[in-house]
Amino acid sequence: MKTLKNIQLLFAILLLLSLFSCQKEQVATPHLEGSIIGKVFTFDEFGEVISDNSGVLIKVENYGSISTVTDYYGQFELKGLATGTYTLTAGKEGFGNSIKYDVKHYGGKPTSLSGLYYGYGPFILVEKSSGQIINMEIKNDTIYSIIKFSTESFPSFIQVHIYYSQSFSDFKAICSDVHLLNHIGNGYYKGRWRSQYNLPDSQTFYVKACTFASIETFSFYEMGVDPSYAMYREPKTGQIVVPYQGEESEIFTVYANK
Amino acid sequence: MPTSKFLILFFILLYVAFSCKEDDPEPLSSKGVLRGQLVVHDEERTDITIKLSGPYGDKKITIDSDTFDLYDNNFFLRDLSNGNYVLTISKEGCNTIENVNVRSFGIDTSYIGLFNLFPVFLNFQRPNIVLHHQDQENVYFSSTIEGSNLRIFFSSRNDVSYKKYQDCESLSIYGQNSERISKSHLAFKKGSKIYAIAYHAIGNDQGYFNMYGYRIYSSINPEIHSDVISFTLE
Repeated sequence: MKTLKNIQLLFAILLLLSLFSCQKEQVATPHLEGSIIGKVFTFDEFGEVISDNSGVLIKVENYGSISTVTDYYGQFELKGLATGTYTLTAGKEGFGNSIKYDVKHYGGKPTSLSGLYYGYGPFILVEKSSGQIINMEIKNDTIYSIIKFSTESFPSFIQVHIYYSQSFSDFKAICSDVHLLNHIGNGYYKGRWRSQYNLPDSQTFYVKACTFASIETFSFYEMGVDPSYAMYREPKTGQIVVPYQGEESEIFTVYANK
Repeated sequence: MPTSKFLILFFILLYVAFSCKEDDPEPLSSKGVLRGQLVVHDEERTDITIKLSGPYGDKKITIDSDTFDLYDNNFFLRDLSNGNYVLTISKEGCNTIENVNVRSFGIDTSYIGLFNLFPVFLNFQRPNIVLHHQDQENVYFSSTIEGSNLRIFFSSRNDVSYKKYQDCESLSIYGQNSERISKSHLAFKKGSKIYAIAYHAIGNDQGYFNMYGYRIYSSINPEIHSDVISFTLE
């Protein structure tokens, strides 16, 4: 009898515990799971479209270890994401990583990065430039350079960041321009770029540069692609990052002649 | 205590334990509004169904001339809970607009875009396209069917279609003429093998983006298309 009463008491306690544990936790936002879906477009180091967009690794940077890989058409789906704000990265061997900050995922049905109204757009991944700047000269505010590429393709357009300094430090950007290259043989190309600033005359100063693909010649309105998606703004510094630019050249000593 | 009461309590306990599942989430807000614009071509603005499938179920509205803003072609979807939705717009005799990703959060009115409803092309001859020739700048196509307003979809894979492609162009081919597409407009490298398929389309169809990142042209009848042709970009 006493044992039976104890069992009854035990069950009553367990019942009460169950009722209390069923209470909902107060949350600021409801927990909705869902996917983020998107697309990646890939370009080679000269800005030519690559048809096979597979093998790009897409990662969620601030949420566990969720990642996926794109298919041939560059499509991907990151599954099982709760409502929240995420940083997404896209990367592939030999290409500059692309980052999308502050991707707001409201959960439920998928969040699509495509379309024109939400400001995210597809990822654009560009092969890192292999351009090596062999020499640089300046004449009448025009910079002349010889560049070697390691690939056998024949680039026609290339973009260049050129920096100059009068003191071997504190380099200032003087050119970020697209120009046509002339092939002078054996993978060497000659190009020229106009400085954005008037350079001091009859002085020695120092320049360095790096090359990167120009993809502005492609109009992808049909596909909702804006070439600016290839770059991103670093949120802490506000600086525009070109993830596919090649290595900076050595510092050249030049004498400006007008 | 009789065994029957013990059993009753046991089953109550079991019931409570299993019913303690996570409740469906409650929306943070249910006052969201989405505004879109809809242009209905060559059809009456009646009996148009707009469906939103979302995290809290589906919402359907039927709109007609009375509920349309005749000046701006605006329509409104009101009292929405926060979250992502998939939008579908349909009307008998028109191609359905589907798989459009929209979202609502808070109490603001968000704009979701301009959509065009076109009647389905019926009783049209299957289009065809033929690669006519290429020169340094252009690729030329012709058709054996006169007066073809076509949209051609291109891919480097033979599963190309209006909803899976890597580039597309609009082309109007009249008589025995060939029409050109500039090679600089095609998203393919020289030397690429390209597959192409053509559909009848209306020239002013700007399309809409579906959630998979493809621009879908709603004047296209998916059932009436050319054979897939292939060529190498010289």
